[in-house]
Amino acid sequence: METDEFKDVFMPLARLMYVEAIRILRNQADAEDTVQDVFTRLWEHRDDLELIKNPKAFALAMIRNQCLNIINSVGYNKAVIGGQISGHATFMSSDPNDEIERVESIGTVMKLIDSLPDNQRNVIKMHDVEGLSKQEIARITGLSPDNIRQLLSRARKAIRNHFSSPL
Amino acid sequence: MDTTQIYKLRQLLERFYAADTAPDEEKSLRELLSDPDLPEEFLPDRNMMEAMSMLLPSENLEERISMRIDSFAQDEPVKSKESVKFRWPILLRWSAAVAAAVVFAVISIIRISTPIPAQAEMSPEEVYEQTAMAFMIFAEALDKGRAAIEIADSTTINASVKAMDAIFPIQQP
Repeated sequence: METDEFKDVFMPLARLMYVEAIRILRNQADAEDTVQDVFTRLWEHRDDLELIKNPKAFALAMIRNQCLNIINSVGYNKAVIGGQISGHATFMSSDPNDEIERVESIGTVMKLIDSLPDNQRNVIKMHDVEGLSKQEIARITGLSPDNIRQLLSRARKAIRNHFSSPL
Repeated sequence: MDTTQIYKLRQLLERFYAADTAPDEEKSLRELLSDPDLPEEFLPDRNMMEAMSMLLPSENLEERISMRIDSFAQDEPVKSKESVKFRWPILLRWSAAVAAAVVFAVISIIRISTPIPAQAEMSPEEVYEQTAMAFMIFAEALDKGRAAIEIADSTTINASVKAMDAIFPIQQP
């Protein structure tokens, strides 16, 4: 597989791969490093990838496998809470409280997004998390641009309301 | 924060919650919300933007990946034409299609070249029987080709699974 073809196939998947990694690892630096590692491995084995019928599914499976390897490795504690895995990288931040707070914030905002009504959740995930434009979302979902704008507006307000309510 | 900045912040927030902001406007909004002198009324907006931004990669992640791929490509020796690997499953597919076509062609030629005994015109029933037999022979040839293609497909799937295991085997804890 030539360089241009490799990039045409896999570069558009980088953001999705990152989203999957942050969902599992709850750590931005780890998620970015994992995406870069997976791209390196994909490049090293690119000649074997021409037979892959679904590059998106394959790349996401690669990310999941590598994230699981990281979680299972020594020094990366894991605690299963309600079926979700939240990671605490014990060797990362010099202030463990900062890292724990960051991990919990990532978990909190992911739960908030998941608690939204289906349409709002899908639109805010596609737009604010995966980086798709409103036109791309319209093409994928069949929703009108006005409808998308409304759903995104409601979703953002709902998440903001969570942060404005007293603790 | 001065009055102009606060005015701009309010405008951007209104547009943001109406889902009308462009990416560069959202970047300006994040910069304004990160001001250390941000009035307290905007703290929930800042907390929300900070939380959402934790789900995002750094701005230049894709660029870094692309540059890394370019440097890998530059460091590699140029492949010679002789070293291109055969793609056996793809070869099998084409072989199966060619084999099916050849079988059909051979059978057709044999049937055409077989002398038909001189006889009076064939009855409609005889014509139907001959046509049905021709279709049956064609279907058998297709089936054999399809079986070969299924073998090639199965080989392709096995190759994908093997590639996944080779690149990233799941390590047991």
